[in-house]
Amino acid sequence: MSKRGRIPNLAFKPKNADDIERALHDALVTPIERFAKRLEERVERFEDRIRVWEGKEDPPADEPERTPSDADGAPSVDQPLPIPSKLSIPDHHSNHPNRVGGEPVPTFILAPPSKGDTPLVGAWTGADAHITPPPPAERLKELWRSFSANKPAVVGLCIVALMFAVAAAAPLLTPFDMAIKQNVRAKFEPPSAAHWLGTDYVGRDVMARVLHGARVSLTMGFLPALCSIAAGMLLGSAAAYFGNWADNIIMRLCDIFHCIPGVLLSLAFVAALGPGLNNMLIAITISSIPSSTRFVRAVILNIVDKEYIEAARACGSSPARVILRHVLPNAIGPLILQTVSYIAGMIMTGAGLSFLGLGLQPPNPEWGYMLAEYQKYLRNAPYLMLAPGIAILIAVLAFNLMGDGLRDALDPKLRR
Amino acid sequence: MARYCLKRLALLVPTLFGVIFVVFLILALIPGDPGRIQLGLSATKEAVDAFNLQWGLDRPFFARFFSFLGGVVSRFDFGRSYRTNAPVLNEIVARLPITAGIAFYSVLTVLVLGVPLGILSAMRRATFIDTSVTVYAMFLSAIPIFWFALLLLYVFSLALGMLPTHGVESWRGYILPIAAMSIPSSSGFIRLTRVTMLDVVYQEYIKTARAKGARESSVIWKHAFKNAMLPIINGAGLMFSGLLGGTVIIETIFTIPGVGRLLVTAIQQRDMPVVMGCTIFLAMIFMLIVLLIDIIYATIDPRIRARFTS
Repeated sequence: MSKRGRIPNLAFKPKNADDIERALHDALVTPIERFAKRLEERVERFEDRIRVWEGKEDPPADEPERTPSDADGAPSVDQPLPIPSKLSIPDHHSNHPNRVGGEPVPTFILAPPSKGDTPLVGAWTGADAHITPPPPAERLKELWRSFSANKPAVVGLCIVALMFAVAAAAPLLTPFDMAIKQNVRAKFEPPSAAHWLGTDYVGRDVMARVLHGARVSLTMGFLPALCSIAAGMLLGSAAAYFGNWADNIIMRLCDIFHCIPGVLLSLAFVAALGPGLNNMLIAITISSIPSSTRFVRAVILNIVDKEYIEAARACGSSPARVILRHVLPNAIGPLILQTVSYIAGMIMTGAGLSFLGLGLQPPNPEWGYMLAEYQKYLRNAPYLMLAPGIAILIAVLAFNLMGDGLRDALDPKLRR
Repeated sequence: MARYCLKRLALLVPTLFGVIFVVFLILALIPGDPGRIQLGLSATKEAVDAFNLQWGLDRPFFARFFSFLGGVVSRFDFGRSYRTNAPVLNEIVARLPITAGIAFYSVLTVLVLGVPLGILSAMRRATFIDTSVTVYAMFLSAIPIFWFALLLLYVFSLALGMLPTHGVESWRGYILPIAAMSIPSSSGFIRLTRVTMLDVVYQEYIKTARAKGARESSVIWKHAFKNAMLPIINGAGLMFSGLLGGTVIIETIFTIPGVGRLLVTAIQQRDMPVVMGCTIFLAMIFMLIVLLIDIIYATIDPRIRARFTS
């Protein structure tokens, strides 16, 4: 019998349904109940302590009495600290050479208490105890100011916006028919007013195919990136938060997936599920979940170690509050960056898989698949492969530029 | 040192089992009857059943898994191909030298192309050279390798007629595939080298080296680069993973009979034993390379070695 839980009984032979039910209850419900009870006890203990601190209640009698030591003048538990409305540093500190003009400057600052945190007596020594953080709108404005100073990043953002506009408006710009309707009489036509980029080997308009292809390629970048980060957040934060066996299981699984090169993993999934756009999206998503899980876990562990989380905990914030108000807002920057870089990578991977004929099925237009089709006409019509290739290049470049700009704006320390 | 190697080797075993299990699980998830998928809709029920019986596909999942695992562990047997009935291992081993050669020379080329440019860019920080190298790397990183391969193929094989369009009968056949893989991939190395060098050049010991009057070349290579090398070696190992994936596409474009092409053909024909064999085999190679890199790491860096010998 280990401390963490019972070793499953391998010789378990159920006689009837009740046996199975009882065993399932033991295995699944009991540990959760035990955990909930422990949590409750801990919260109660904490609340007691806060009440004692605030002087509303006497300390429980069974707690060992702490003798007040006169040497350092530390307040004893029986004598609750007076709660001043405004804390200041004792006067003699202003004689310190570092102080300018005798004005007390805060020596150390914990996270400013946000609304709802129980103020912790004695911890907040700022000269003005209520420095309110700037409102979200202000912070966004600041972010935009530092992002827009980076010209290439703005160009990237504009291209991304333009691509979305084009993808959304593709049916308005050119009918979908032009992208798939074959017209053998008009094949290999050079660029003209009617066909801006010419026509391909069965007379389809290349421009229309590139424009409609943008829809698929953007989907291929966005959807898996978002899904993968979402799954990564779930698994990664579970691993980081619960620690112990949850962390162990999740991370060992990630290690295993990490040993299989990403493209191979996607290929294996496509092989199992069969070619097709949806299957390819699933394959790309699943094969990137391990790396996003690792990433989220690292980000969260990094934040949880910070002093301001300790401060928030010390202020008596609930775990949910710590996660929602303190951990997530600080993790959001790196997560956005990772999503943007995933989008660029996934547009590339998706195009590669389509190029191998494992993605979108013909005759639908997609950049990678167009390249694979036009490869056969490299000798006669080499210009055909320029447009889809350049389209991929611009899409990836735009997302990369945008990502770099965002990184600099979100984390000025990383700027080089 | 030996202890470190042994420890790493021992850790490899459970991971390897995990990898085999995961790949087996993914490929066993195929919706539908494997025999039906292989033989097509026109096959009779009896033929499908006979196929499933012949390949042992009627057995439960774990029975199949453990017999496969047993084969791999005891005889290094990855099963037989549905199509050719030849052992998968033979097919892979026959094609491996070509793929390994392309991947190895690509890594070398990437290092040769990427590292000097990265160092140059870091040493001339915030100058015109730095900016142009960064822009160059930015563009390279956005080039899809299959598109780049097609461009090279057109220019050097079709337009200029200098190099063969397909196959690797002579060494000339290797030039385009390696160039197509390594030139776009070198962008990552330019950036990695630049960033790690920038981390190093502001350290005190670089100042010391300059102060004692060491030549600039000696400062760069002996003092700065030697310390920046660890992340670069690590990056080289990780890049190998990307290149193993890249060979799949490159071998298809240049019609090179390598493991990657075998894999793609097998996926198109839904020849599951071959897909499984190739994936597991390539993953194993990748694991061994990561292990090798870690050992090199420990050999170069006394700090890591000390952690395991003390």
